[in-house]
Amino acid sequence: MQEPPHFKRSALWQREREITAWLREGYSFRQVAEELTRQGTKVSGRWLQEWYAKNVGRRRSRPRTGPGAGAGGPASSAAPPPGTPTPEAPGMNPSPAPQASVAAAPADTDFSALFQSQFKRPRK
Amino acid sequence: MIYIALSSDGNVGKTTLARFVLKPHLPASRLVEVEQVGVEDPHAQRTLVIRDAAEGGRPALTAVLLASLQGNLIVDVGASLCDAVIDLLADAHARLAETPLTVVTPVVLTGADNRKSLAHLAKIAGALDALELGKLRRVLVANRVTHSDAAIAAFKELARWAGDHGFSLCQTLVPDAAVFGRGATDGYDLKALAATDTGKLEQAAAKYLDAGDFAKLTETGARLTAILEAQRLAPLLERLAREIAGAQGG
Repeated sequence: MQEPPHFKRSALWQREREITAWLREGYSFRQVAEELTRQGTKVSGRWLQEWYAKNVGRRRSRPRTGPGAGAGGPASSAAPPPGTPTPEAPGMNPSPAPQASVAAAPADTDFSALFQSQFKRPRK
Repeated sequence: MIYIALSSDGNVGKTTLARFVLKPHLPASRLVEVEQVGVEDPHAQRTLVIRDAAEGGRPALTAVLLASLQGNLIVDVGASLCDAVIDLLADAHARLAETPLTVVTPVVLTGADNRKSLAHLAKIAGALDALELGKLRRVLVANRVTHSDAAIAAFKELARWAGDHGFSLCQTLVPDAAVFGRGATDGYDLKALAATDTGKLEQAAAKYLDAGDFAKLTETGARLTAILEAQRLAPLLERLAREIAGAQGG
């Protein structure tokens, strides 16, 4: 893993729980990276994903996927844990909202054509 | 190759995917259904059903996994046992590290807000990351897809999410078809249904039409509709199976 410029590893560790909470809410690594970058920790989505898999994923027990996991909803799961120094503003609202990612999807991917090709009525 | 239909989200099409997409594509494979205690499905007789995979059924599932390292195995995991099966994969890491393993996760997107679905997926993604299995592939299948602008936008969002989390997203869209949706619960053999000769039913329809028996005509029409739907879906499901299996190369 090559560290990007302006990167502070400690900043990621400091916000590890918050990052985990965002990921559990359904935000992508790219979206989380964008938010971190916006808040001053410059990191790419791919790099963040690798860092997370190699460090947090290995150290931490796996996120629970059983019933009731994460049922507390986004607001509660994203709340910083007690004792954790809260960095800048809580972030995440309204920035990388799901709608934003749809709007920012690559323009060259023509899913309309994909849908059109598969949903046209079959012809005998 | 071991295929695992896995999702912590219920009623998204895991069993349907296992029975009607993967199994017909790999007829010699073993199909194992992992269910919670108390779940009874009389149509699951063709398969081995392991109950309580978190506790009592755990050794059996481990044995099935390791017995299938050389062949093809399809495991259909009940939503509530998703975590237990991932734990089991972690425990068998030493033997599975070099085994090609594909996790197939069906997703049902709504047009409006898919954060809940993506949150379910994110948990699975995190758990699969932690497994660190070199030959593990993750595949997403969009199920019950409708043709609308909202559905296209949702699929686009899913595609982006998949790319960010190391999943392949199948480009074959599974439509919201009645004959496919019912299949997992009422024991339909979709392939057999698609192969049904409609000639006799068409003759019967003509007879009922002449006799003015609209109740029988409607009943016959429903059966014909189901067959036509199965015939329309059969090639699509084959294509989807090829896409899931073929994605192993890249």
